[in-house]
Amino acid sequence: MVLEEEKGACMKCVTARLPAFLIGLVLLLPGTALADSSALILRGVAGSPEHEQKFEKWTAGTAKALVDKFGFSSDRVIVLTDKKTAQAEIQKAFATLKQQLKPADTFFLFFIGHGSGEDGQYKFNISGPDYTTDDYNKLLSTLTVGRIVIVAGTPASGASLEKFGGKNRVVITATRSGQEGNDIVFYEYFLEALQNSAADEDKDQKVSVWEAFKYAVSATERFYKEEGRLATEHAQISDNGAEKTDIKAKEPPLLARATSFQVDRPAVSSDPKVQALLNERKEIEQKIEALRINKNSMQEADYNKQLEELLVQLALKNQEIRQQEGTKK
Amino acid sequence: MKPIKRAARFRSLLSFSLLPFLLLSCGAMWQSDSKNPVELARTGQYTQAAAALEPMVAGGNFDPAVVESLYYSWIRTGEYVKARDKFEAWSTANANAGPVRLAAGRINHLTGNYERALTHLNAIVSAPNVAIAAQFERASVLDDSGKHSDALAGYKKLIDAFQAGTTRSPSDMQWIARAMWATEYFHDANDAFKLVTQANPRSAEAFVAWGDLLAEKYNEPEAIASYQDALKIDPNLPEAHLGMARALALTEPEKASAALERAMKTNPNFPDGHLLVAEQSLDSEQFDKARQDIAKVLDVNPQSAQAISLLASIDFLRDTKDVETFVKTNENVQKVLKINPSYSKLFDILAENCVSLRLYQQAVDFSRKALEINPRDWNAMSTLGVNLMRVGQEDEGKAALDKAYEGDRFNVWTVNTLTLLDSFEHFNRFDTPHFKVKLHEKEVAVLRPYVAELLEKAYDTLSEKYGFKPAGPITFEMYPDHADFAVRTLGLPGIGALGVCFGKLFVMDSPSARKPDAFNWGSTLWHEFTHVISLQMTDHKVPRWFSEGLSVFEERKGFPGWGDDLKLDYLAAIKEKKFLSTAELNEGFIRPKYEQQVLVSYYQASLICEYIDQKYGFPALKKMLLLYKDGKNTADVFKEAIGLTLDQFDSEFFKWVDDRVKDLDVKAVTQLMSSGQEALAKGETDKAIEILKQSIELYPEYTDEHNAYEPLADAYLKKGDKAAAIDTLKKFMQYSETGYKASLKLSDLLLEAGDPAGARQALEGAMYIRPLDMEEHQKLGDLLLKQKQYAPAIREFEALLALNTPDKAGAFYKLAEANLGQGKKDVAKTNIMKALEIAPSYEPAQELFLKIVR
Repeated sequence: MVLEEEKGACMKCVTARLPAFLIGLVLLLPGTALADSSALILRGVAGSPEHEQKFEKWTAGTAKALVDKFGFSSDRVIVLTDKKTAQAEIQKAFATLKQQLKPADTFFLFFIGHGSGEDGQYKFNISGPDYTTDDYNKLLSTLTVGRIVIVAGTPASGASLEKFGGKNRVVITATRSGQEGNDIVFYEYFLEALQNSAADEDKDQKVSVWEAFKYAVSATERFYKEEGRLATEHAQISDNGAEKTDIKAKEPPLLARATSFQVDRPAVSSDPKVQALLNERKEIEQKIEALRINKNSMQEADYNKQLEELLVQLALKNQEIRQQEGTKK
Repeated sequence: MKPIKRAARFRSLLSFSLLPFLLLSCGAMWQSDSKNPVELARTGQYTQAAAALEPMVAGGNFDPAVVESLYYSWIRTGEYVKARDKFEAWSTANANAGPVRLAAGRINHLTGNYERALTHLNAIVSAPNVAIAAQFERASVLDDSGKHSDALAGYKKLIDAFQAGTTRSPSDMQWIARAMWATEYFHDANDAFKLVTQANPRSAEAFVAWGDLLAEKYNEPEAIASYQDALKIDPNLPEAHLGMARALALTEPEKASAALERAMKTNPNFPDGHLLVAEQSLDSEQFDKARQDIAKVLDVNPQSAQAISLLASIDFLRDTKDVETFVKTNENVQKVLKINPSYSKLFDILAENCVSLRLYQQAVDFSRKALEINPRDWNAMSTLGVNLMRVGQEDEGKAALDKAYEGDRFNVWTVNTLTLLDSFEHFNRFDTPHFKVKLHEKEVAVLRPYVAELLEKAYDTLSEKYGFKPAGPITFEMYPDHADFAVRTLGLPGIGALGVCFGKLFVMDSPSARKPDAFNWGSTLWHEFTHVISLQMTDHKVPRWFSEGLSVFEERKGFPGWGDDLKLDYLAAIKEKKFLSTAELNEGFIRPKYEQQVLVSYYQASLICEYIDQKYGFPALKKMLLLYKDGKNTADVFKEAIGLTLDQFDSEFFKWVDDRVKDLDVKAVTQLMSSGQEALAKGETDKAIEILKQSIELYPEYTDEHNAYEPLADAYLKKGDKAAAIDTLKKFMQYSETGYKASLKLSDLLLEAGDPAGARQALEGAMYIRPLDMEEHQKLGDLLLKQKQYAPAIREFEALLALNTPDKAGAFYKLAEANLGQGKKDVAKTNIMKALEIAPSYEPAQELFLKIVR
């Protein structure tokens, strides 16, 4: 009994300190209705066979990862390439997305191809006249969606960061400004992050937007170091309208960390006992997350003690689930 | 601050006083009748000029330009005796002829007859047209004959007269410039030379003097430009060619040699030229040759303090004694101090020659001696500071360098080394049983365990092998910035080496200082530590070639694949008979005549050691070291150690070398390699295998770009023949020390083939190439964990964390596993909680966690 009260008190104590957004995030998840994800991949005009090959590899690889690995329905991954990237086609795609997407859903927009932005105005090379970021924002505003993730994997994409950034949006650009106009390698490694479990730092069987970004940035830095070349691209991330940052951020951007490429399908079981255990496990995971967020405002010994207790609970809960399911992982 | 203020005054005075004379002098100076004997002398046609000028002077034409032109025509062609005899005779007959007595004073100065020089110069200090030149020359003679205070007074008088406006002539201005230089007003001297050369753009002497000042103050590019200006006027001017030879020595040694040759061709008796040749011979330990050139200098000037100082250097290097005893008892040292008791340069020269031969402690001692004589010898102060750093006395070294900087801010060695010292705050220091280690803070966490282990392994292995325990403390430093490494070693950026040893200190590039796979840090460390052994074992008397040869020889035994094997350039050098004789081999290191000669010399030296080891046994090599320690020269060492003269040795050695490569045709092999790769690209795998195998059989040592091994292994893998691929890669690793990707591939294959020990060795070898690469730490860590080698496994996972692995949870988890394997439950718990803190859902970590806590 004492333990229950203490835990209850502890939970209140912990939650009292949480920022409002996070409380919403923490409390929202267990009760959230099934959310879905859609993606639009724009592969712009290549201009040369080498670029064509590279962009095609990135595009096809992204689409495959979304469907095969992250659980996107194939009809919810729209790929527009080359001539099909004309304005009219993009508008049609957005019209489809408008039908598909619901308020709790997440929408992913990928730009793969050539970009320019020396004058501060980002332009992604499509077939025919290019759209500006304002044009894309207008299209995005037609969607009723919970979260938008934009990955601009092109040279000079940094010029789009400020205009694309905003509330409930995560924006990743391969460069820090419109001046970085050389060919990029960032997206090669971003794709690797989507395909590779090595990017899953917290081993939750999901790859978050933040994890993918970190993986790609580290790999890009290693590439230039190994080649003995000056880095001509510096990827950036903008999280929920905050100022842009990179992997050296003191605190990981919350929205990017909380948003994974996995379609959000909470674990469910037909067995009510197992389902109850799954729900309990989810609660413990949330408590651990809340404790971690609160770490800096706690005494180290206290933090460690609480963490240990929760970890024991979680481990035991997992064992229970496996036993109940009759499988050993 | 004083010089700067005076410079301002000087500048304003210079422009005021020279302006009218710039206008006046231009007219006269621009006359250039090419047949005029003065013009002939000015433009380098000395013999022709002298033939015309001698009868003119003999006939009573004492015009300053005529007399001076004759003087320079004679001395620039080495006619010192003639010049002295003639000018003496003319002076006797014409005691009031200022220009003649000036020439007589100069030639006596040049030939070491200081008293006689002063007799002439004292008589003309107020003579028209020559007074300023005579006063300068007089002060210079006083300086060279040890009357330094009187010399300074003379220079000061010249400067005062200039400031008072009594010195007006542009031709006198160059003497004022030199007086400023002699009294350390370098900026003023520089400004003055600028004005002199503007006023008389056809005075080659002025350009040379300016060039010498710039070179002295380490501004080689502008010095070279000034010498080139001189040579445009007088293409034969030996002083200008000599200046070029000195200025180009470090950056363009071939051009430097050509310039020196040119100087000596014009004046075969040129004392400064012979001095430079002697210095070069000393650098490469050719003492007898050095003596021959010094003798030529002394033939001209028996009182040349610089030449006698070089003799003293040879005495010391040949038979190194305690510095104090040497200074008190050496005949040449005493002779120099008798000629000029204030000649601190004697000890500068001794110190610098000690540095060339790696006698750093002695360089410190001699520098101190120089400063006892002249506390303002800033060159000596800098040498002291830099060498105190080399013998491990950092604090004292810094103090000396601070003083050197205050005295002479031009000295690039001082400035660079002080800048480097500022960076030391970013280095972490730790001790191992035999070493004091310094690694950069950004790398220490990863490199420390590997560096510490290899240092101690090198110490144990080589001290046992050579029966010699080097004296400590031995300091080891690794620099992630190559420029810092260069400054630490040479005092200047731009060194091409990877590592340098000073006897008790050895330093090297860190792997991150260079492109990945550019070098093997393990073999470099081993190489440099071998120098510690060979230097200390011989009291630093081991010749350069032998020390380098032993180091490469020992690299090959340190680990499979280490040490340069027969590269294409070396093969070409052998085929083209470019190997040097053993007697000349030092030259290949110190004064290379072609681009690859330094590396070829390393290879040749290592083959010499290998040959001696094979034919005469390792004890012969050890004996050679001990004989060098006793002060024997190379010829004697070979005779006593292996019973051969150098010529006999060279004869049998070259035959052995030629035999090794007689069947190797470079063209045939390169053709095979490229056709093998072509076949592979076309998908003709069987054909590719046959061709590549053949090329390896012919030339197994070739492991550089486009080698046959790697594509052959790929070809075998395409055919599914993993065993053959493994064999191929194993052979490759026996010759390659930088095959990182091949090492990883080999380890994967060996692991698949059930050879974890082999896989481990391959990964450990890779660690000496790219220790900062996460992939290999992960593979090696996993392998070691599987083999229950917990301590080295922990090292690997800690390295991963230090490298900021993206999979921190995984690294902490495996660390915990290894800790638990060691029975360290508390540490295991800490680490597993760190893993779960990052990845709470990580099930394997959860399982381990429960195992630990319950």
